[in-house]
Amino acid sequence: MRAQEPLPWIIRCSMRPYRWLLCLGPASYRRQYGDLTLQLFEACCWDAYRRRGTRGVLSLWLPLLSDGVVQMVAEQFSELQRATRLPVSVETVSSCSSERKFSMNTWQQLNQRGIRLFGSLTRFRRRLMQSLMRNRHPMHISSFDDSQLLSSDDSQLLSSMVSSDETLDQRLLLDLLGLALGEARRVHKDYLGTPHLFIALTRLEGGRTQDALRSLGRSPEQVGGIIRLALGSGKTTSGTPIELTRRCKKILQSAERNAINAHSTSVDERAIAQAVLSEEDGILRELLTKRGINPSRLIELILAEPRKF
Amino acid sequence: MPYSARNPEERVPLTPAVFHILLILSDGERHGYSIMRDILALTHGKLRLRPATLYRSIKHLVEDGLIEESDVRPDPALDDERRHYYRLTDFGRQVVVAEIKRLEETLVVARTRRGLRDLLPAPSIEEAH
Repeated sequence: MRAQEPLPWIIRCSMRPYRWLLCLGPASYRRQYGDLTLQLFEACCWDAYRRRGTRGVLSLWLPLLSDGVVQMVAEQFSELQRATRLPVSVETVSSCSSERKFSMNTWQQLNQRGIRLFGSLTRFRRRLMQSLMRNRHPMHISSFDDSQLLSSDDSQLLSSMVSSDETLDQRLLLDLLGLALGEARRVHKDYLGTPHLFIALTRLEGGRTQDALRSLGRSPEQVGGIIRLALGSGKTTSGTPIELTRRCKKILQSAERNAINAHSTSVDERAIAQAVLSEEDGILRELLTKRGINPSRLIELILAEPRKF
Repeated sequence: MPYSARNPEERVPLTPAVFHILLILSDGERHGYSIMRDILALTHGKLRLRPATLYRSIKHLVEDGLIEESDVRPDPALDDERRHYYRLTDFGRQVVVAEIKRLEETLVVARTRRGLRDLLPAPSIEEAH
């Protein structure tokens, strides 16, 4: 076996600089393929040594070492490119989401690698939502039929973005955002506001908000309906892009803070519900209070609910 | 996304190095040194892959799901146990077929060009039919 033969001095001397040269490449490459590359280099040296002795090995230095330098530098660049390529711009997010290829855990993966996108998860999700709204196909909803909403392009688009390895919390969040978007569409609004988020929370099957409302003796459907009625209907056509209101943006930021404070790894229903219901001077709080529902009590109940997912 | 759901057409054209690696692996499992030697023989010495180029290509092919590491190992007495063997995946096979079809189409187009027609060998009977 070749591995057991003593290495001629010229091969030993050649391998040392080649090993150093591999340090130019990324650590991930060295870990996985460093030894294999070096082993192949050694095999090339043996071939040359057998054919032409020391002179043969020397003649390999220039082509093999230059190849090593070029490839290791190229690999560094491609690592860098891979790390920053996908979601660095809204345009990319937008095009990815329109192609239904986007995976929500990309943000987390990049964050783990120390790359911050848009500053926070909330801002990232907000931009993602905005891009979805601009790129969505027109949707016509004539009645309050749930199945129509859930089978709409919006729902498909949102659910298609979640890969199978996503956590349930993330899927839950996407469902929630999809419901809120559908809610705004349903009442022909050109904005997505805090009340839409709350109605979406009341429609989240098996969610904490539903349970909390039921424990207060209220029907989630009824509460959602009341808020929907109070908001009234807009005049927007189905193709009009929907924008997040300033308040809604703040709510999403606040939800992220809640999640962080709760040491949660994702912005879940609890964090959003807490943010939505804590909003001071908002129409939602006013509507709930008028209907005899204490928002603070509702928050307590939602937070007290045992973890479901 | 599962690789089976990907369109092999999206992966072509391939670089000569990648194309030849896939071509060699279409015959079965090979280790790095064997791939390098076979490519050299196949191309009559015109394409010489150096170690870093070869393993960088292999790395990207593995990441893209075109090839995978094989557990099949020959007799240790006959082989260096440090070697890693690679084989083509189903998706990799589809990609190499797509690339061959693309090259065939290019050749057909080239044969229709007046300036090249006389310089290119005529298609064989099998090719013509």
